[in-house]
Amino acid sequence: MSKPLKLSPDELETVVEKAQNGDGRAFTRAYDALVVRIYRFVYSKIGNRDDAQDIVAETWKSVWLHLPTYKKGNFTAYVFRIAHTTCISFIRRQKRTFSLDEVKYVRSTVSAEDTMIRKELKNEVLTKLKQLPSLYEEIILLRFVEGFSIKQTAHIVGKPSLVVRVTQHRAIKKLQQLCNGI
Amino acid sequence: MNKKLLNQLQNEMNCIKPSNAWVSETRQELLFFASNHQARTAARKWFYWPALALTFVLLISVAMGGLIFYSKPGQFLYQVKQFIQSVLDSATPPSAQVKGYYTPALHAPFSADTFDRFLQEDPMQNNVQGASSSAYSDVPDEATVSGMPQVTPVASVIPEPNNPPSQPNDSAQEKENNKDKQKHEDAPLKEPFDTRSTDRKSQKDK
Repeated sequence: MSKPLKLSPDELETVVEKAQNGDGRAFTRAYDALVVRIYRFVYSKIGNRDDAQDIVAETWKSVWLHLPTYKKGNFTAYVFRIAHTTCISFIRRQKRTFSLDEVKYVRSTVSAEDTMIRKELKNEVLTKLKQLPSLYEEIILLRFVEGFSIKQTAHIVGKPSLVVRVTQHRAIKKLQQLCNGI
Repeated sequence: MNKKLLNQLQNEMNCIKPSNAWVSETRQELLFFASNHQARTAARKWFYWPALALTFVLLISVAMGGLIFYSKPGQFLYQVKQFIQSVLDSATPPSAQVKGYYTPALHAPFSADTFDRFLQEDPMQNNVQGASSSAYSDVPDEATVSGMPQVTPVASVIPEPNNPPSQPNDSAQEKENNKDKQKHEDAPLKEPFDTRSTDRKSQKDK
């Protein structure tokens, strides 16, 4: 895996401005800078490699389509927000289409790579994090792994800042309780 | 949050990475998608305004056509309608104009009064007398219709049965014909030709 392209927030904004003017190459530069972070976020939410890849590709297509409406601000948070909504719509679609028989089949199709990662992380923080409610997990990832502020996290998850602050507090407490043995 | 716990979480998260091949493949796919979308958007932009203008012109022309068609005398649009009518008439080629065969009296609709008179009167009687019936008073005679050929009355062509043309040799020829007929009837009937009997006779002769 080649190292992800590192761009400062200002550079990223310049690249996005070029992409808004129809520069496809500039758009792929923005993609290179953020794809790994977006993939991580989506994978931690979905837990399946193939589905995560599909969602990430869908997210970037959606970003391109909505790029003309983007106003200069935090592009990273903007992309994370789109990834979050794409994940939610994917989960809703899965709920609508899955029958009980199919759930067994889906569980059996978890790839070898996923199994390896799960074995490595057995009894570790990420596995404990999976035991938390999805909003708790999401807020911890966005706040402490991706480094977003409370305001940005609130924008991404679509909740008020106060709710995010309270949820974060509860999530940390819960995670610490779970990780006492580690 | 506990620093140790946070570091551990970050390290674990760094283990999750997409494959290199998938990243480059998705990049190509995105580039293609972006260029394709741009081309489509540009095409739509070029198509949108002419299509809108054409639709607008069509709607206006249909509305104006309707107003002109249903205009009444005295309105301005009626004058436009008459003007269009005159232009269309002048544009019609002479071969398409039927001349001489159109008479308003013949092509006029059959009025209710005329129909009543037609039922009451006996048109045959009037014809025998040779006088024109009042029922047909408003219908002109064939001869008066301009351009129509004059038709000879049927009665003048067919000879009257009471006065057949005289033929002097007719009775003598008839007598001869009768004689031949009598002879033919008196003659004895011949036996039907039997091929088997002739065959037998020929065999006996042999």
